[in-house]
Amino acid sequence: MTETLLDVRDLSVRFDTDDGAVHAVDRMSLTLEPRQVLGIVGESGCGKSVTALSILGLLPKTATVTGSVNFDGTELLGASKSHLRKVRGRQISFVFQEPMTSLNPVFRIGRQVDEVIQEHMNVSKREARARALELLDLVHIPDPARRLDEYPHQLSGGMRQRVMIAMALACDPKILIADEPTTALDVTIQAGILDLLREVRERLGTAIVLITHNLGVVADLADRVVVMYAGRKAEEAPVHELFAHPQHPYTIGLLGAVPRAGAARNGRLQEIPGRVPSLAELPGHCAFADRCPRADEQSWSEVPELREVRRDHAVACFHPGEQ
Amino acid sequence: MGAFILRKAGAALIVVFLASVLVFVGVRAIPGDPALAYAAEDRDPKVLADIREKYGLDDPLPVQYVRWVGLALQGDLGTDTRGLPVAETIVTRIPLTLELTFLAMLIGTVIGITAGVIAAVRRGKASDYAATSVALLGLSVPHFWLGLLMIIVFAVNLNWLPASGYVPFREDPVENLKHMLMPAIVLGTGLSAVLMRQMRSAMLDSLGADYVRTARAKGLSEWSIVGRHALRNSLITVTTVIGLQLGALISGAVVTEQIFGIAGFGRLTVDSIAQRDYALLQGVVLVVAVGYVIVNLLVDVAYSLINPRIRVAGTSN
Repeated sequence: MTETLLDVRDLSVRFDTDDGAVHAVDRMSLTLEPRQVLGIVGESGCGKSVTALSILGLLPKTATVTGSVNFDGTELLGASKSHLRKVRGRQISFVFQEPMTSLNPVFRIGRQVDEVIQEHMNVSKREARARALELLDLVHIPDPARRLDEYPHQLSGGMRQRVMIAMALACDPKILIADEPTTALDVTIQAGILDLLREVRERLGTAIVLITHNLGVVADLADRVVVMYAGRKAEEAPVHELFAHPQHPYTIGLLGAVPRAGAARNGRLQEIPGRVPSLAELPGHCAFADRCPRADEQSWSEVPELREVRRDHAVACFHPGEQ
Repeated sequence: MGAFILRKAGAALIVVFLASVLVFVGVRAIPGDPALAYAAEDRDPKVLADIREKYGLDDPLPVQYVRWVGLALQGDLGTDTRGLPVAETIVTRIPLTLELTFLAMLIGTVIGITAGVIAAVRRGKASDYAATSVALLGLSVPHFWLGLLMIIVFAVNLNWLPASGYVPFREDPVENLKHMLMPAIVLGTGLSAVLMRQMRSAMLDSLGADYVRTARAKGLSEWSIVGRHALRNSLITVTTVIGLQLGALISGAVVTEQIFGIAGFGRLTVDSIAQRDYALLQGVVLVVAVGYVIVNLLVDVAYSLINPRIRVAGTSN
């Protein structure tokens, strides 16, 4: 049994809005081991980003979070602000989707990188600057000394995302949470960022939680995959197992929606019919039922619980299977 | 940065030129004969003709304009109906108004920005509602009413502050500030209310921005998230508003000086209009226009210091 770095148990998140409560995440559980890359996959609005943000208490005040988030032996849910601050950016750090807006437009790159180093490490300004230079070099930003004195708008999207990664790695964190890190970038730039994340895991041994709606990205990088649907875990398995033997009809649908060369000749890309359900109310049945070709009476009357159908492969479906 | 300022200064010069033309034409468009104003009770055509001759009033307008500007550039704005040099009168009155508007601006920005930040950070709480309501009140209250109310309360009833008058700062700094405090508060109230509302909405925008989420995820303290990351971005909007509010401040000074019996620039403007003193009016309005342009130039420079995107856009091309 390997040690667990991050253990999320029964995490539920509810937002109180003017139109009533929205159940964004329902009893979500995750574990992350050191050096592991965990992919969380799902459509927009399935609760994957909310899950990640709730780990560090970064959700707005309208959110009510229950369950447990155990990091390295300490509970983070309900932890004091000062304790959370020591974990944020130091032990667990974030890379967000939008490199264009995630950096502060009015401060130089160097200052934004220095800032996190000085916040968490007991170093002088000069040492922080030297470390910042080292970090920009680590994420392969050309001419790093000059870049430190530039503003975010002077950098391309890919470069800004590299700066975000450099900032996230500044204090040598144990976990890097990358929330759609390549979604806003050109395809050629995406590959570079994914290569960089792979390199980070290999060279620094940082565990990575990779949130994406792109199964291709997961196949490329992750060790283990969690598929989320409507705030719940639909399926979880090691990456090869999931791609070889997908069990949940939703996962199979997602895989069918990935374009493949050659496959296009015999027809259109498959799409999953219907829409993601509203999360205003937790349904008393399988949330995927109205889009599912396998749905029957049971799907419409009970909520499927997660169960292991193959070795180390769990699925929340009454009718799992590859076809 | 140097090129940026130079470009802005060039634009400012053009504005000053246009303003001087407007002032000149505007004053002449006012009904009434300037010669009559100078001559006062004397309606003898011979006297009026002499006056026209002496002041060059019978020359074509462009000639008069060029002469006026030429002299103005040398610091000579002509003489008023009392025979006093306009430039000298203006120079003696300007410090009063400068001090008043400076203090009003100081009070307005400090209160407005602080209240706006607090309201935004404590959005939806009692302090937010309190600040927003007080700001609405501050916006609705007319200068003269607030001024009279303050005089009644603090000068007449409590006897804490003098009701009117002015003591030069060099003579007695404490007395000077005592005299200036109430007028500055009256004049600064409107500004602080406007700034509070602007600051609140700018801060709410900034606090919801992605870079604030990044700052939070970096483990920074709330103080540095609000006071550095969010504030700096919000100041971009608010600086622009301060520049725009300057016009309101100058016209507000006219009323405020009237209420508190301060013989400043505002009083001078009112008097010059009332007495149809063309040379004086021309000079006064020109100086206000130039002052307005200078302050806006300063605002532009401050704006570019706060917002690096402006600076680069200006220099890279």
